[in-house]
Amino acid sequence: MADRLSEDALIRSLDSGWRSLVWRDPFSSKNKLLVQTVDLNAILHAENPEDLAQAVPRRDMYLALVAADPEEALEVLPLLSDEQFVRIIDNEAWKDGHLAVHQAIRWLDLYKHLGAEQLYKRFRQLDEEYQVALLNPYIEMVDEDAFEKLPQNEQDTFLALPCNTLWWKVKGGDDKIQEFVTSLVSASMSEDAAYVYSLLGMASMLPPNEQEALLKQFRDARLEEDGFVSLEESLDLFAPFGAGKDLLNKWSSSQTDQSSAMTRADSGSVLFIDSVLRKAASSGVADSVAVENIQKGFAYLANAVSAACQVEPDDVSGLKSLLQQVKCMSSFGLDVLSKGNDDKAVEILFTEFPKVVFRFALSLFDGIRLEAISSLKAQDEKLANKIELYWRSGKFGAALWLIEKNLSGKIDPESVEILKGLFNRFPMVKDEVMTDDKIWRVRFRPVATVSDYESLVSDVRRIFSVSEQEALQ
Amino acid sequence: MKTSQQTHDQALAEKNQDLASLLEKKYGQWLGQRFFEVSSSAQSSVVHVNVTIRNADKSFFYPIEGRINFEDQDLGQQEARDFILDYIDAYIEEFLAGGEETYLPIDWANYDCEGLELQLRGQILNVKLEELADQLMGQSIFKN
Repeated sequence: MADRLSEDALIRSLDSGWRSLVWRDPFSSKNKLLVQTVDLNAILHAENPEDLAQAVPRRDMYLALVAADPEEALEVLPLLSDEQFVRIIDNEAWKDGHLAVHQAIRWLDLYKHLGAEQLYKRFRQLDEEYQVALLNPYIEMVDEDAFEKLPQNEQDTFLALPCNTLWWKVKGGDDKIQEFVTSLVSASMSEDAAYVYSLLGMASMLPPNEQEALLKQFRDARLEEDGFVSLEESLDLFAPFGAGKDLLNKWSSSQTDQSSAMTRADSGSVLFIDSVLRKAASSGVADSVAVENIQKGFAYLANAVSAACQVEPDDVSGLKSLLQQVKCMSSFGLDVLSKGNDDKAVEILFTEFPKVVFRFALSLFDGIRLEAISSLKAQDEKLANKIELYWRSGKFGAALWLIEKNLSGKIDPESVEILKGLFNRFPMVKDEVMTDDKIWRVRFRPVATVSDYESLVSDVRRIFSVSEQEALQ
Repeated sequence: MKTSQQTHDQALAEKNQDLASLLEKKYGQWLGQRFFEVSSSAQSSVVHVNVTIRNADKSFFYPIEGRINFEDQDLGQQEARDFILDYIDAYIEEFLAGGEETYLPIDWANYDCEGLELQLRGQILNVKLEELADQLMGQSIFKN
């Protein structure tokens, strides 16, 4: 079977926690955009558009450009600062930890449309390592002696530099790269010939991948500023959380003034966390900047889990899904810690880091997961031990695959799905069974409230009470 | 008694069914009420694979087809089939995860991958509507 359609590939997909199970977020949320909206049109029509554009935080500008219509985005591109443009390339021009040259060219080509000078200017504003790494695999340069030794047909593929003692060509036969490099060299030559000699020389001489490896370190450090932590740190967010009890005790014993102006008219369609923040802003308990910072904190948390969930920094739709998951989970954690008290919830939000609330919420599933494992042990000890091992070592995809492979046909399909929801990276509860004459599918929703959690617990307990009864019969 | 051809066809149909089910597990989040169908065939030196994303009433019907001349490219038949499926799967991921905005050409177009050449085509259809239109066109507009 093909690599992408192998068991391993499926396990990897299940391990993401958000791609393979069918789920929907039933809550309307104001923070699904990941950042504050940037009004590019207002920037373009301002008196000093360049200053205004460059004042926008780098990640916000990148997301605004990706979401904007191409014409508007094209007009904003010349206004960007070096750092803003480098951040675009940091986000877009990497795939699986390697430089994706075609993606970088896609952005640089936009500058080509704005004029040769713009292309030269932007390319040169990139880090030196970027400039060399983008060309490094494709440039071959020879001196006069080497050129003379080449057969005629090979010589024809080289272009002479103005000195007529050095020749260069684009290797690899990729038309897109050929066209881009040729435009870049021609645009740069008319601006600064010495730069072209130096750039082509370095690109052809430096060992392959050296610049890319160096660049990756700089890029990773820059992305960490936006919350995109390393894979290890990202996986740690799903690791066992030992401070759960202490946190619960801390907030259970804390006294909050119950007579404050904040009263929550609970709405089933709004997430607890959003409702609390809205009330905090409208009642003057917190100013709008403070509330925005809290919202931003959750966007950063979504970025932080992205490496574990296999989402690249340029996958805006994937990041939105992660934001929905982390917000629902954190909202559940907040609900438990505050016992549904809005005032206490605000205090918690302004005291604890979002990741602490998130990890606390995840730790609340340890009990029911253990209960399921122990019930399963009565039926198939080996399988239960394996699932426990995978769960505890953070291999959620492998745990889900084991459940699917070993329990399908032994217990009813709905129960298999419920158990998969329980052991998913983001635990989820059954929302509904979708069915017509061609499909049968369980759709989940993230556990966002105490009642969601209770539904999940009761679904899981029902599975094992049914199987115990069947075993007795 | 089954002939060896029948046994082979049945094994292939089962394999395709497994693949469709695997694709549904892999891309569950984006499917809604839709599901996959996979079929493949080989004629002389060409392997043809069809992966369709569709719903029950065919109002969404997206056949994604790939073909490759496996003899020209020094591939076995099975290898060629897997290669096309791999490529189609990569496209499906881009299509579904990218908001269903990445389309294939309606007519066969050449693609290069790892030094091998294959052809792909695909078009999103509303077969339900087409069938309805055919039915209407087939009816006489003159009432007796």
